[in-house]
Amino acid sequence: MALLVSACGFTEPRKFITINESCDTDGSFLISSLIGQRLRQQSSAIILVCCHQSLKYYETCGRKLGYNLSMSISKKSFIAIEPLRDIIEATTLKSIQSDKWFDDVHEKIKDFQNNGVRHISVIIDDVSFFRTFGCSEAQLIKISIKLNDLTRQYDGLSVILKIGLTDLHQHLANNIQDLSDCSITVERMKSGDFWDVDGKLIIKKIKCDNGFYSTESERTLLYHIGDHNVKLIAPGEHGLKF
Amino acid sequence: MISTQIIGNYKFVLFVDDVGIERNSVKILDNILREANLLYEINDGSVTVLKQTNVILEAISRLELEYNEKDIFTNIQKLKLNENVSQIFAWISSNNVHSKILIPFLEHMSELIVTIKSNNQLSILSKSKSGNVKLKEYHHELMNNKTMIKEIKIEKVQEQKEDVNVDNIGTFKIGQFTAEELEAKRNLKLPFEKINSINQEKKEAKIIYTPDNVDDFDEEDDPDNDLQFI
Repeated sequence: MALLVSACGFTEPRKFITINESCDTDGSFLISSLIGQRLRQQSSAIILVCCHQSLKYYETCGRKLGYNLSMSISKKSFIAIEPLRDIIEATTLKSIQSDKWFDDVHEKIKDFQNNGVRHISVIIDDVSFFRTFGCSEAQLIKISIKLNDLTRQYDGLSVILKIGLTDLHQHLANNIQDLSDCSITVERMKSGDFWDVDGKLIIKKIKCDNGFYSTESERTLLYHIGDHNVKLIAPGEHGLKF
Repeated sequence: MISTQIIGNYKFVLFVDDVGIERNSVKILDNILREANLLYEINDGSVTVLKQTNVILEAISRLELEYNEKDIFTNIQKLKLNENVSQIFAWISSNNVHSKILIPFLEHMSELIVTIKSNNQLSILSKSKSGNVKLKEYHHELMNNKTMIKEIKIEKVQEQKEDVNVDNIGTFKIGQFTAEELEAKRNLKLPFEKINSINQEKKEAKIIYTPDNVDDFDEEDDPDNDLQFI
């Protein structure tokens, strides 16, 4: 798991990370491993907007990956916003459609900042959920720009945005990806399904020199999700072994 | 230098980005203006346009978030008609704009279009007031934060017409004979010539019939004379 976390740039001081999830893939393992890595940091806090999976799912994943999310919740170093839970209520739907959830997130960042927390991570899983519930692409791009501005405003803040179904929301994904300093694309293998490979990760890291953005590194890795870990394989590594 | 091609007579200069480097648009435009010794300042609010002002618009994809297409086109047109504005620079990225009408319409409005086609190639299409349109292709290094461009000259391949010796093409001789061959050719009579020569000798046509032994001839003139046909 440590290999995955470092390969994806989660250990580096990246401010805005996007996870692009194409159709028929699930990048939730990246979010789970990221939460584990961030919780292990000293003086850290996480705000998770979970739309794709329930909080229970992340708790179960945490137990498998070796961290206790319930403990972090009780310590108030982990806050979950679950728009899915109260979706039946009309007010919740309205708050999803408006920017209210962003204001909530901002308030919580301020609280953590005031309490002297050094590393704050805002994880949004995933943005396409808001699209499904009536938010326009322009509205979501504007919120992403605001979140990006917040990373400049607060030193210890990093934002991780997951965009699901990027095949359908290409325009949204392109615009949000333009804000990132690290983008991870989760794709299926074009050649089909294999018993030892579930898909591939394309990790693109961006650097900024004097206001000019250029690609720092770009690498492709294959992954296989096991019961308690995620195995990374370099393309071409697998073959016939006797 | 890209600035030598862009800065000057063209009022509305449009950058069409097919690669996805919109993030660097400000930096690239900054480099171009610096090359041409043009100073600029960034204003978020309302701006009073003084004499001979160059206007750099925010990336069109960002303007699209706030305004509809009509407003964007109208405001650009207003700037074009403003005499105090010397040049307008706009950047549009095909990956980031949602509306399909934006790129073709802005291309129609602009006088100079710089299309960044790939990581190392761009084209500049200029429309002069007289109606002439020029399209040139260049190598660029914008990805390396450099503004140098080098024209790609398309070499015209001219077909060189060589004098072809007909005698060498075929597998048989045409026109070149030895004395013997020429004599033989003259003496040769082709089948139709033979028929003509026979016809000339015997001018009257005649049917020559040689009966076989088994042939039976009737001596009577008309064998059916005895029949009474009405």
